[in-house]
Amino acid sequence: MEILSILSALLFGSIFGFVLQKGKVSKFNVIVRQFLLKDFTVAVIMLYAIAIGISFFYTIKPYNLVDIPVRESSMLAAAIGGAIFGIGMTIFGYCPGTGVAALGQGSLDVISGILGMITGAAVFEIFYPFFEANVMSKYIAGVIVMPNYLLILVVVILLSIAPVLNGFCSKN
Amino acid sequence: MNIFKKVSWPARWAGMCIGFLYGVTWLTVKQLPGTSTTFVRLAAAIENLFVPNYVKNSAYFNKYFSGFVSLLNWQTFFVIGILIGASISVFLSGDFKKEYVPSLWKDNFGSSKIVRFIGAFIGGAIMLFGARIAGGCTSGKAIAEGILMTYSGWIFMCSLFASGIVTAFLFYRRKS
Repeated sequence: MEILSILSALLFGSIFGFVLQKGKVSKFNVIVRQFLLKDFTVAVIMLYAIAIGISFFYTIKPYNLVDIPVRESSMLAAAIGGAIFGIGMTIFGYCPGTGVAALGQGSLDVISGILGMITGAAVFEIFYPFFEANVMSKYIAGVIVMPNYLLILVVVILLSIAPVLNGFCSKN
Repeated sequence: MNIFKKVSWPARWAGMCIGFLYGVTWLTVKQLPGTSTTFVRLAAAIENLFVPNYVKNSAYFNKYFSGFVSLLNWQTFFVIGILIGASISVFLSGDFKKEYVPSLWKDNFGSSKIVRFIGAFIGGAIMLFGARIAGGCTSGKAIAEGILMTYSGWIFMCSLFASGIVTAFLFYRRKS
Protein backbone atom coordinates (compact mmCIF):
# COMPACT_ATOMS: atom_id res chain seq x y z
CA MET A 1 0.00 0.00 0.00
CA GLU A 2 1.42 3.32 -1.04
CA ILE A 3 2.16 6.04 1.44
CA LEU A 4 0.11 8.54 -0.57
CA SER A 5 -2.91 6.27 -0.37
CA ILE A 6 -2.51 5.96 3.41
CA LEU A 7 -2.18 9.73 3.76
CA SER A 8 -5.28 10.33 1.64
CA ALA A 9 -7.27 7.89 3.78
CA LEU A 10 -6.09 9.56 6.98
CA LEU A 11 -6.86 13.01 5.56
CA PHE A 12 -10.36 12.21 4.29
CA GLY A 13 -11.09 10.17 7.41
CA SER A 14 -10.03 13.07 9.62
CA ILE A 15 -12.29 15.47 7.75
CA PHE A 16 -15.16 12.99 8.05
CA GLY A 17 -14.57 12.50 11.80
CA PHE A 18 -14.17 16.23 12.35
CA VAL A 19 -17.44 17.02 10.60
CA LEU A 20 -19.35 14.19 12.32
CA GLN A 21 -18.22 15.52 15.68
CA LYS A 22 -19.09 19.12 14.79
CA GLY A 23 -22.45 17.93 13.46
CA LYS A 24 -23.17 16.30 16.87
CA VAL A 25 -24.01 12.92 15.35
CA SER A 26 -21.19 11.49 17.45
CA LYS A 27 -23.45 12.02 20.47
CA PHE A 28 -25.57 9.20 21.87
CA ASN A 29 -28.43 11.54 22.82
CA VAL A 30 -28.64 13.07 19.33
CA ILE A 31 -28.87 9.65 17.64
CA VAL A 32 -31.43 8.22 20.06
CA ARG A 33 -33.51 11.42 20.08
CA GLN A 34 -33.62 11.17 16.27
CA PHE A 35 -35.31 7.78 16.56
CA LEU A 36 -37.62 9.20 19.25
CA LEU A 37 -38.50 11.86 16.64
CA LYS A 38 -37.40 14.66 18.96
CA ASP A 39 -34.29 15.86 17.13
CA PHE A 40 -33.82 15.56 13.37
CA THR A 41 -30.08 16.25 13.19
CA VAL A 42 -29.27 12.80 11.77
CA ALA A 43 -31.90 13.04 9.02
CA VAL A 44 -30.91 16.60 8.10
CA ILE A 45 -27.23 15.68 7.79
CA MET A 46 -28.04 12.63 5.67
CA LEU A 47 -30.43 14.48 3.37
CA TYR A 48 -28.04 17.38 2.79
CA ALA A 49 -25.13 15.00 2.26
CA ILE A 50 -27.10 13.00 -0.30
CA ALA A 51 -28.43 16.10 -2.09
CA ILE A 52 -24.97 17.67 -2.34
CA GLY A 53 -23.42 14.33 -3.29
CA ILE A 54 -25.93 13.75 -6.12
CA SER A 55 -25.33 17.30 -7.37
CA PHE A 56 -21.56 16.77 -7.24
CA PHE A 57 -21.64 13.54 -9.26
CA TYR A 58 -24.17 15.03 -11.67
CA THR A 59 -21.95 18.07 -12.22
CA ILE A 60 -18.74 16.13 -12.91
CA LYS A 61 -20.45 13.49 -15.07
CA PRO A 62 -20.23 15.31 -18.44
CA TYR A 63 -16.47 15.88 -18.03
CA ASN A 64 -15.68 12.14 -17.87
CA LEU A 65 -13.03 12.70 -15.21
CA VAL A 66 -13.84 9.41 -13.48
CA ASP A 67 -16.44 6.76 -14.08
CA ILE A 68 -19.40 7.00 -11.74
CA PRO A 69 -19.41 4.03 -9.34
CA VAL A 70 -21.99 1.33 -10.01
CA ARG A 71 -23.31 -0.81 -7.21
CA GLU A 72 -25.62 -3.79 -7.35
CA SER A 73 -26.95 -5.58 -4.32
CA SER A 74 -29.93 -7.41 -2.92
CA MET A 75 -32.98 -5.36 -1.98
CA LEU A 76 -34.09 -8.12 0.39
CA ALA A 77 -30.74 -8.01 2.19
CA ALA A 78 -31.02 -4.22 2.41
CA ALA A 79 -34.49 -4.48 3.99
CA ILE A 80 -33.57 -7.22 6.50
CA GLY A 81 -30.08 -5.86 7.18
CA GLY A 82 -31.43 -2.34 7.63
CA ALA A 83 -34.03 -3.50 10.14
CA ILE A 84 -31.46 -5.39 12.22
CA PHE A 85 -29.00 -2.49 11.88
CA GLY A 86 -31.62 -0.02 13.18
CA ILE A 87 -32.23 -2.11 16.32
CA GLY A 88 -28.51 -2.34 17.06
CA MET A 89 -27.84 1.32 16.30
CA THR A 90 -30.59 2.44 18.69
CA ILE A 91 -29.33 0.26 21.55
CA PHE A 92 -25.67 1.15 20.97
CA GLY A 93 -26.56 4.79 20.29
CA TYR A 94 -24.02 5.26 17.50
CA CYS A 95 -23.45 3.90 14.02
CA PRO A 96 -20.04 2.38 13.16
CA GLY A 97 -18.53 5.65 11.85
CA THR A 98 -20.02 8.01 14.43
CA GLY A 99 -19.10 5.53 17.16
CA VAL A 100 -15.43 5.81 16.26
CA ALA A 101 -15.83 9.60 16.24
CA ALA A 102 -17.52 9.42 19.66
CA LEU A 103 -14.48 7.59 21.04
CA GLY A 104 -12.39 10.59 19.98
CA GLN A 105 -14.62 12.92 21.97
CA GLY A 106 -14.30 10.78 25.11
CA SER A 107 -17.35 8.47 25.04
CA LEU A 108 -15.71 5.41 26.53
CA ASP A 109 -18.79 3.16 26.29
CA VAL A 110 -17.84 2.95 22.60
CA ILE A 111 -14.89 0.66 23.49
CA SER A 112 -17.40 -1.99 24.52
CA GLY A 113 -19.44 -1.26 21.39
CA ILE A 114 -16.39 -1.75 19.17
CA LEU A 115 -15.71 -5.13 20.78
CA GLY A 116 -19.39 -5.90 20.14
CA MET A 117 -19.08 -4.89 16.50
CA ILE A 118 -16.05 -7.14 15.99
CA THR A 119 -18.03 -9.96 17.63
CA GLY A 120 -21.04 -9.20 15.41
CA ALA A 121 -18.82 -9.47 12.34
CA ALA A 122 -17.41 -12.78 13.59
CA VAL A 123 -20.90 -14.17 14.24
CA PHE A 124 -22.08 -13.06 10.81
CA GLU A 125 -19.19 -14.94 9.24
CA ILE A 126 -20.65 -18.16 10.67
CA PHE A 127 -24.08 -17.46 9.18
CA TYR A 128 -22.76 -16.06 5.89
CA PRO A 129 -23.38 -19.21 3.79
CA PHE A 130 -27.05 -19.20 4.85
CA PHE A 131 -27.57 -15.48 4.15
CA GLU A 132 -25.64 -15.63 0.89
CA ALA A 133 -27.80 -18.49 -0.38
CA ASN A 134 -31.18 -17.28 0.85
CA VAL A 135 -31.03 -13.50 1.19
CA MET A 136 -28.04 -11.74 -0.33
CA SER A 137 -28.41 -13.38 -3.73
CA LYS A 138 -32.14 -12.61 -4.05
CA TYR A 139 -33.77 -9.56 -5.67
CA ILE A 140 -30.54 -7.96 -6.89
CA ALA A 141 -30.99 -4.41 -8.13
CA GLY A 142 -28.73 -1.57 -9.15
CA VAL A 143 -29.11 2.13 -9.75
CA ILE A 144 -32.56 3.70 -10.03
CA VAL A 145 -32.46 4.86 -13.63
CA MET A 146 -34.24 8.14 -14.13
CA PRO A 147 -34.14 11.03 -16.56
CA ASN A 148 -32.12 14.10 -15.59
CA TYR A 149 -35.11 16.28 -14.79
CA LEU A 150 -36.34 13.69 -12.26
CA LEU A 151 -32.90 13.55 -10.65
CA ILE A 152 -32.91 17.32 -10.30
CA LEU A 153 -36.40 17.07 -8.83
CA VAL A 154 -35.11 14.57 -6.24
CA VAL A 155 -32.35 16.99 -5.21
CA VAL A 156 -34.86 19.84 -4.98
CA ILE A 157 -37.21 17.72 -2.85
CA LEU A 158 -34.35 16.62 -0.55
CA LEU A 159 -33.17 20.20 -0.18
CA SER A 160 -36.68 21.39 0.62
CA ILE A 161 -37.52 18.69 3.19
CA ALA A 162 -34.23 19.25 4.98
CA PRO A 163 -34.84 22.86 6.13
CA VAL A 164 -38.28 21.86 7.46
CA LEU A 165 -36.71 19.06 9.49
CA ASN A 166 -33.93 21.46 10.45
CA GLY A 167 -36.51 23.29 12.57
CA PHE A 168 -36.71 20.18 14.74
CA CYS A 169 -32.98 20.06 15.48
CA SER A 170 -31.89 20.85 19.02
CA LYS A 171 -30.01 24.12 19.24
CA ASN A 172 -26.93 24.69 21.30
CA MET B 1 -10.15 29.72 12.33
CA ASN B 2 -13.04 30.68 14.54
CA ILE B 3 -15.54 28.21 13.12
CA PHE B 4 -13.20 25.30 13.86
CA LYS B 5 -13.31 26.23 17.54
CA LYS B 6 -17.10 26.14 17.75
CA VAL B 7 -18.49 23.29 19.83
CA SER B 8 -20.94 22.37 17.08
CA TRP B 9 -22.06 23.32 13.59
CA PRO B 10 -25.61 23.52 12.27
CA ALA B 11 -26.62 20.12 10.87
CA ARG B 12 -26.94 21.51 7.34
CA TRP B 13 -23.27 22.66 7.30
CA ALA B 14 -22.14 19.24 8.42
CA GLY B 15 -24.39 17.54 5.86
CA MET B 16 -23.11 19.67 2.99
CA CYS B 17 -19.48 19.04 3.98
CA ILE B 18 -20.10 15.29 4.05
CA GLY B 19 -21.82 15.31 0.64
CA PHE B 20 -18.93 17.26 -0.82
CA LEU B 21 -16.41 14.92 0.83
CA TYR B 22 -17.98 11.87 -0.86
CA GLY B 23 -17.60 13.57 -4.24
CA VAL B 24 -14.01 14.70 -3.69
CA THR B 25 -12.95 11.33 -2.25
CA TRP B 26 -14.27 9.50 -5.31
CA LEU B 27 -12.82 12.06 -7.69
CA THR B 28 -9.33 12.02 -6.20
CA VAL B 29 -8.71 8.48 -4.94
CA LYS B 30 -11.68 6.50 -6.34
CA GLN B 31 -12.89 5.46 -2.91
CA LEU B 32 -16.18 6.04 -1.16
CA PRO B 33 -16.24 6.44 2.61
CA GLY B 34 -17.26 3.33 4.51
CA THR B 35 -16.63 1.85 7.94
CA SER B 36 -18.18 -1.53 8.65
CA THR B 37 -15.91 -3.75 6.52
CA THR B 38 -13.02 -2.71 8.77
CA PHE B 39 -14.68 -4.59 11.63
CA VAL B 40 -14.86 -7.72 9.47
CA ARG B 41 -11.11 -7.43 8.81
CA LEU B 42 -10.47 -6.94 12.53
CA ALA B 43 -12.58 -10.02 13.37
CA ALA B 44 -10.69 -12.02 10.74
CA ALA B 45 -7.33 -10.78 12.04
CA ILE B 46 -8.16 -11.75 15.63
CA GLU B 47 -9.44 -15.19 14.62
CA ASN B 48 -6.35 -15.59 12.45
CA LEU B 49 -4.22 -15.43 15.61
CA PHE B 50 -5.97 -18.47 17.07
CA VAL B 51 -7.49 -20.47 14.22
CA PRO B 52 -5.60 -19.52 11.03
CA ASN B 53 -6.87 -22.57 9.13
CA TYR B 54 -10.48 -21.69 9.82
CA VAL B 55 -9.94 -18.15 8.52
CA LYS B 56 -8.15 -19.47 5.46
CA ASN B 57 -11.16 -21.63 4.56
CA SER B 58 -13.85 -19.09 5.37
CA ALA B 59 -15.65 -17.96 2.22
CA TYR B 60 -16.68 -14.70 3.88
CA PHE B 61 -13.32 -13.72 5.38
CA ASN B 62 -11.62 -14.57 2.10
CA LYS B 63 -13.51 -11.76 0.41
CA TYR B 64 -11.80 -9.17 2.60
CA PHE B 65 -8.90 -10.82 4.38
CA SER B 66 -5.83 -12.65 3.11
CA GLY B 67 -3.36 -12.30 5.95
CA PHE B 68 -2.55 -9.44 8.28
CA VAL B 69 -1.43 -7.30 5.35
CA SER B 70 -5.15 -6.91 4.50
CA LEU B 71 -5.41 -4.62 7.51
CA LEU B 72 -3.29 -2.12 5.58
CA ASN B 73 -6.35 -1.11 3.65
CA TRP B 74 -7.60 2.30 2.56
CA GLN B 75 -10.71 1.97 4.73
CA THR B 76 -8.71 0.97 7.83
CA PHE B 77 -6.79 4.23 7.66
CA PHE B 78 -10.00 6.10 6.89
CA VAL B 79 -11.47 4.77 10.16
CA ILE B 80 -8.30 5.72 12.07
CA GLY B 81 -8.69 9.14 10.46
CA ILE B 82 -12.24 9.45 11.85
CA LEU B 83 -10.82 8.99 15.35
CA ILE B 84 -8.10 11.58 14.69
CA GLY B 85 -10.54 14.09 13.16
CA ALA B 86 -13.03 13.84 16.01
CA SER B 87 -10.18 14.24 18.50
CA ILE B 88 -8.94 17.36 16.69
CA SER B 89 -12.50 18.73 16.74
CA VAL B 90 -12.87 18.41 20.52
CA PHE B 91 -9.29 19.55 21.08
CA LEU B 92 -10.05 22.81 19.26
CA SER B 93 -13.45 23.33 20.86
CA GLY B 94 -12.38 22.21 24.33
CA ASP B 95 -15.40 19.89 24.41
CA PHE B 96 -13.57 16.66 25.32
CA LYS B 97 -15.66 14.87 27.92
CA LYS B 98 -14.83 11.51 29.45
CA GLU B 99 -18.17 9.75 29.62
CA TYR B 100 -19.08 6.16 30.43
CA VAL B 101 -22.86 6.36 30.51
CA PRO B 102 -24.68 8.83 28.20
CA SER B 103 -27.34 10.88 30.02
CA LEU B 104 -30.31 9.52 28.06
CA TRP B 105 -29.20 5.96 28.80
CA LYS B 106 -28.81 6.90 32.48
CA ASP B 107 -32.37 8.26 32.61
CA ASN B 108 -33.75 4.98 31.32
CA PHE B 109 -31.44 2.27 32.61
CA GLY B 110 -29.58 3.82 35.54
CA SER B 111 -25.98 4.91 35.92
CA SER B 112 -24.38 1.46 36.08
CA LYS B 113 -21.33 1.34 33.82
CA ILE B 114 -21.58 -2.43 33.52
CA VAL B 115 -25.18 -2.34 32.29
CA ARG B 116 -24.26 0.33 29.73
CA PHE B 117 -21.20 -1.60 28.58
CA ILE B 118 -23.27 -4.77 28.11
CA GLY B 119 -25.89 -2.74 26.21
CA ALA B 120 -23.25 -1.15 23.99
CA PHE B 121 -21.68 -4.55 23.31
CA ILE B 122 -24.98 -6.20 22.34
CA GLY B 123 -26.10 -3.17 20.34
CA GLY B 124 -22.80 -3.02 18.47
CA ALA B 125 -22.96 -6.74 17.70
CA ILE B 126 -26.54 -6.59 16.37
CA MET B 127 -25.70 -3.49 14.35
CA LEU B 128 -22.68 -4.98 12.61
CA PHE B 129 -24.56 -8.22 11.92
CA GLY B 130 -27.24 -6.19 10.13
CA ALA B 131 -24.67 -4.10 8.31
CA ARG B 132 -22.99 -7.19 6.91
CA ILE B 133 -26.27 -8.64 5.63
CA ALA B 134 -26.99 -5.37 3.84
CA GLY B 135 -23.38 -4.89 2.74
CA GLY B 136 -22.64 -1.60 4.50
CA CYS B 137 -23.56 0.81 7.26
CA THR B 138 -24.73 4.41 7.43
CA SER B 139 -21.64 5.73 5.64
CA GLY B 140 -20.94 3.01 3.09
CA LYS B 141 -24.53 2.00 2.34
CA ALA B 142 -27.10 4.64 3.32
CA ILE B 143 -25.25 7.82 2.32
CA ALA B 144 -23.01 6.37 -0.40
CA GLU B 145 -25.80 4.48 -2.15
CA GLY B 146 -28.27 7.27 -1.43
CA ILE B 147 -25.98 9.48 -3.52
CA LEU B 148 -25.59 6.78 -6.18
CA MET B 149 -29.39 6.35 -6.11
CA THR B 150 -29.51 2.57 -5.78
CA TYR B 151 -32.68 0.73 -4.84
CA SER B 152 -30.88 -1.11 -2.04
CA GLY B 153 -29.42 2.07 -0.56
CA TRP B 154 -32.80 3.74 -0.18
CA ILE B 155 -34.50 0.57 1.06
CA PHE B 156 -31.73 0.20 3.67
CA MET B 157 -32.24 3.79 4.80
CA CYS B 158 -36.04 3.48 5.16
CA SER B 159 -35.74 0.11 6.88
CA LEU B 160 -33.11 1.39 9.33
CA PHE B 161 -35.18 4.41 10.30
CA ALA B 162 -38.37 2.37 10.70
CA SER B 163 -36.79 -0.22 12.98
CA GLY B 164 -34.78 2.43 14.84
CA ILE B 165 -37.95 4.37 15.65
CA VAL B 166 -39.79 1.27 16.90
CA THR B 167 -36.77 0.22 18.99
CA ALA B 168 -36.33 3.71 20.47
CA PHE B 169 -39.96 3.96 21.53
CA LEU B 170 -39.73 0.51 23.16
CA PHE B 171 -36.39 1.13 24.90
CA TYR B 172 -36.21 4.80 25.78
CA ARG B 173 -39.83 5.78 26.33
CA ARG B 174 -39.45 6.29 30.07
CA LYS B 175 -37.54 9.54 29.77
CA SER B 176 -36.21 11.49 26.83
